[in-house]
Amino acid sequence: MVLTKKLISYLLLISIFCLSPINHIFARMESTNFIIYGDVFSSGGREDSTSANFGIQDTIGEGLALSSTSTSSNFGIKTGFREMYADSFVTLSLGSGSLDLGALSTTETKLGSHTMTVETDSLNGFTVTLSGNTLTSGINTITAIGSIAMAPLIGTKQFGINLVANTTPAVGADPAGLAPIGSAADQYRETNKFAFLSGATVATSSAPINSTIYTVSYIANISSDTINGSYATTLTYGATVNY
Amino acid sequence: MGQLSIIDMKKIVFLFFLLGVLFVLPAQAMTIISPIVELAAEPGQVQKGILKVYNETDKDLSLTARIEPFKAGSEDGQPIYLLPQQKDEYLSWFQLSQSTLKLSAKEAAIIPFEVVVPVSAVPGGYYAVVFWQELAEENKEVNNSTIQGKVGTLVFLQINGEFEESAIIKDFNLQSNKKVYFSLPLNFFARLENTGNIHLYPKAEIEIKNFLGQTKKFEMANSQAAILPQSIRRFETIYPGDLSSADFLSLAQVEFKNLFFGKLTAKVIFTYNDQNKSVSETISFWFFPWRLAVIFSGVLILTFLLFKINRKVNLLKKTLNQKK
Repeated sequence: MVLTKKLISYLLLISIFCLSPINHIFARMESTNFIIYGDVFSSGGREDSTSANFGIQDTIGEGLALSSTSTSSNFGIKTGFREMYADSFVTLSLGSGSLDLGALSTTETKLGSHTMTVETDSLNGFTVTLSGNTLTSGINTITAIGSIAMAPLIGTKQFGINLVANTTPAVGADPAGLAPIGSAADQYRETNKFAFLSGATVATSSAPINSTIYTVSYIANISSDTINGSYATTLTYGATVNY
Repeated sequence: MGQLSIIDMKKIVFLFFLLGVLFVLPAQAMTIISPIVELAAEPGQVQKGILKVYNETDKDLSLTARIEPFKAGSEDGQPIYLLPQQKDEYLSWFQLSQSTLKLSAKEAAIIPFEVVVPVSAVPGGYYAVVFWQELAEENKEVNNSTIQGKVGTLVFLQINGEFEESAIIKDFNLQSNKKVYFSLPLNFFARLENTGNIHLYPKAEIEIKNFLGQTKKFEMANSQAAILPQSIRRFETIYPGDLSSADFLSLAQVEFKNLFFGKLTAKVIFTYNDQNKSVSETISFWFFPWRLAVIFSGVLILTFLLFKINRKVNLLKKTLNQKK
């Protein structure tokens, strides 16, 4: 009975590992005393590979093709025994999945903000770009400020963001973290000025950085001829490393 | 007591605010491991690769994949993601084993993919980014906008064959672009344009030579930065390093060790294609280290004064001896 249970358990484990289209592992094992960067999930190898001249306990590479590839005109190395180096990474975390600017007004600038945290150990740093449309309500739109940062102007249709601390209006915070940290990009680091251009880079670094907390601040204004309504949009922040 | 309570209340509110900022649970937090994947394939070949995604959060994530083309967005290696167009038919070569993914809290996944290269594929470089994005819940609140995040793996695909590897130096100079310099460090920059159709990983070295033929060589690029086809990459280096915290004597010592004086030439040599190809450019400028000049002048004046004093003393001694 016990043997049967064990057999079923083994078969279940084998079927999970072999039949699953994707391999689930924990990317990094760590405790207070150690970190194993390259936890391995290998799917082949022998304990007793031999020839007349050698014997070896071998394993195939962790994946079919690893990220670090050496090539020349005559060779290409993609798989190895195991990844024995700390794999590079980039992390993006958003503090909120939504933004409520409230009912837009002709007498005050509406404000909103959320955090965005980025970290990478990539040698050439990272880039975060913004994509999406400006605020809309049906066919009515709030004019996006564009690529050049501008100060909020009450009574004018405006929608923009920045990633630094502002005093007028009082919103936002400078990028924070333990140095080295990333910075806000060009037009998105102007105090008290805001920009909005889909596809624009909003945060970047040119070297590895520690976890950097950005505060993304939003401003919106409407003019007297703006039709009242629920103005909203969908914005996407995309992060990759630089090459 | 009442005043103390208000202060305490303020402290408590501040602490709560701080805790809120520091420990707010992220709505979405994803990590891409191995954020650049390089593959090479022959036309007609099926090449295999893997992507690695990690769920940083304490909740389950449902992710969806999207493959987009990218190109050089700046001269410092920032990519620009583009909307797929008809000319980007190579994106259809990428076949992910799964285009949607469910990750439990703190779980990572390895997602195999294949690149099915057609026989007719033109040799060269093809560049794609595979983004993983959480499926956002629809916002039902009035005025609520949806904020989403996506993280991507850059894929550099090289189709083997007779691709073109070539580059030209667009600029090489000192940052301040002057003819005469009076102190170190020297801030060099160079801009290399990839004129071929495959990405390059150039190495670069600068060689400074003085009028006596003495040379100093140092590295400017170390092949860890790629240049995509038809784009420019800017490289910068400070020789002999950041000296902003060095004092007068230390700087003079550095200048003395480098023996730079008079007309200098600086040559940058970029090598690529496993060092088989290279391009170079030379500039010239004048260098007069003012600190060394001050020290040298001081020593000269001191020597001259000592010589004069010595001469006076000797004359005095001679006069005294004659009187005896």
